[in-house]
Amino acid sequence: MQIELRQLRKTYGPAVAVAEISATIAQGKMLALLGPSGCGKTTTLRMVAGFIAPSSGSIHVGARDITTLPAHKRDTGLVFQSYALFPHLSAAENIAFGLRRRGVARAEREQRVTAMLDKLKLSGLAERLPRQLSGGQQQRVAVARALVINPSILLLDEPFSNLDAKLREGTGLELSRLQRELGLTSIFVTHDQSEAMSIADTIAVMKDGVLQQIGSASEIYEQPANRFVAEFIGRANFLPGRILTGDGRSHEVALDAGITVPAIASAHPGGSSRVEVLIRPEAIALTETGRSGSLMATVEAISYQGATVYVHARLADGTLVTCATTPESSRIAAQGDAIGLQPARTRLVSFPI
Amino acid sequence: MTAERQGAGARRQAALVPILLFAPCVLVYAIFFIWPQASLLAISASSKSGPGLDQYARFFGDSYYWEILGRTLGMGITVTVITLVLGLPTAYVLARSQSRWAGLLLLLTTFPLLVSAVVRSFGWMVLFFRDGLVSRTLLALGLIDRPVQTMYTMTGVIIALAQVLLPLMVLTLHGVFKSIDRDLEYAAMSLGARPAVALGLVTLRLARGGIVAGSLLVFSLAISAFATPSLVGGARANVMATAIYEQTVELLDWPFGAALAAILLVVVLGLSLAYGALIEGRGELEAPR
Repeated sequence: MQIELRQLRKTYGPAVAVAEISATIAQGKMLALLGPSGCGKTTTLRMVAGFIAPSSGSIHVGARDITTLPAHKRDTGLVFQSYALFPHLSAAENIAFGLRRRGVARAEREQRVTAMLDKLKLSGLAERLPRQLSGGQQQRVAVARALVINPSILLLDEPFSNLDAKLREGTGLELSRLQRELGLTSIFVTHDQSEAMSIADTIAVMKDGVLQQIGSASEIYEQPANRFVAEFIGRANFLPGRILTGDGRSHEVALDAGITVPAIASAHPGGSSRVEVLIRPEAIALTETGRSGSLMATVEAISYQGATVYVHARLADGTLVTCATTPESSRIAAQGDAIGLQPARTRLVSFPI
Repeated sequence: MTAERQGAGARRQAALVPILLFAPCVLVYAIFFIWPQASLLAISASSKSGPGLDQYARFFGDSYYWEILGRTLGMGITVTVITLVLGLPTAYVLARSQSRWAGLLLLLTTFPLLVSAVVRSFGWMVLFFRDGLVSRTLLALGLIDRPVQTMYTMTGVIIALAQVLLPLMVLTLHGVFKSIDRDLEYAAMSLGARPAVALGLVTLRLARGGIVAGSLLVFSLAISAFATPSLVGGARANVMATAIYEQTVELLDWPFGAALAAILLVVVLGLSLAYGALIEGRGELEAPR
């Protein structure tokens, strides 16, 4: 079912937890609410779940306005960051909890719990108490408990933050597969941008209760609405400069560092001609010094990550620039070397200062 | 070889640490509780003609003493129920409150504990007398048509004891509720449990251990209270504690006083174990997470 948030707002006295968020999540899609802690993402999720009453605005699921509906009537599947498994109930009893509340008859209940245990590779662990399960197993019980009731929407509150990095990716893909298979419209809260990018269809970036940008992973990465989004998603270099020529949408910018580059204006161009140009690390090529259109820099550190090598180089004016390159291309650079940095001619975005 | 020996030495030392940490407590407990308790039992098992169970025979043969025991237990149970009924919601709300006043309110609930039992009892006297505040207020409200005397009644003793023991119940339960993750309730609600059901199936179920602990604490303090029953209750509210005092201090009948004390101890112990087993279901004292 489609979820729609209309001008949702939550304040606590003078403190604004969520300034205003509007978003529509199409049937079967997953929205990630992404932002640093305290940005209002969890408050938003809890308003959708019905644990926090919005100060204004409304929440719609399908054609229904659920803004004032109590939590237990909302029919939402919810996975908590802490999993919130009932410590006194076994894995199977935890999963059966929602079915019991719905008055599902014993035979059907048992059959659905067993099917869910199988689906999440938990068979054999049915009788274990939560404390006897590993973190990954607890997480799967929490997911099974949320899904077994066939909810109309699925809400996930940092479901992977307590798992180690290796487990996180596999679990994320598995959950995303289940979600698509069941066609569940979902909202997913996270502070981890790579997690959001890998499993969500749409990402809403939030900061201090304000929605900064909403769009697909590539839109947000390639055309960030502001500096905060640019820095929060991936790595970013910003070089100051002045607009030479151009219309409102794209222009030539003379960088203070000495070269001229083309750039696309961000969504909110200011009136001034001073701008900062966003250059992603992978949009910079390493060259020999002195080539035209390249910046002079000194290699300060090289960080080898396998597939990618990050070269940190300092420009003459002291700005540190990070370049992402392949191991082969990085061979021309060594610590302390003078080197040329060649920004790509496309994919650069300018922000007013 | 040497390393091995050193390792074994270190292990022996490590094994000694808990014993050493435990020793002072065990020592104090043995000297000031176990030994006097044993002597008390010994005294209770003596009579004019030498050792024997005469004292116990006297107690169980006289309905007067049965009445005292019954009154004491009735008082303990009533006080426990009152503090539980009043304390449970208070502790829950304070534990779940996000307000910065919650801490102050919790502190306020402990105020009765800061006043000496004698002073507090005199306070209740002022309120409870026939011409006191309680009686006059009830008259003014038209709830009664002639003055009531709450002083020197069991009702007065129970009200006064419930007041002073309520903080202990609230503090115990507050700690327990604080330790139960609120998300568990939210999880139950998201699965379709109405808030009251979520509270009962999850929070109260997990708080059982704390409810047992708080109840036992209040019950045992209520039935062993002396100052409040003797000052507020007087002769009409004769309970085990005041009877023991009467026998040992006023009538100097130590063996019978000791027997009363021993009977109270055994009854309380038995009731506590039964209550614990009842509330815990399978009888296990399981701490919530």
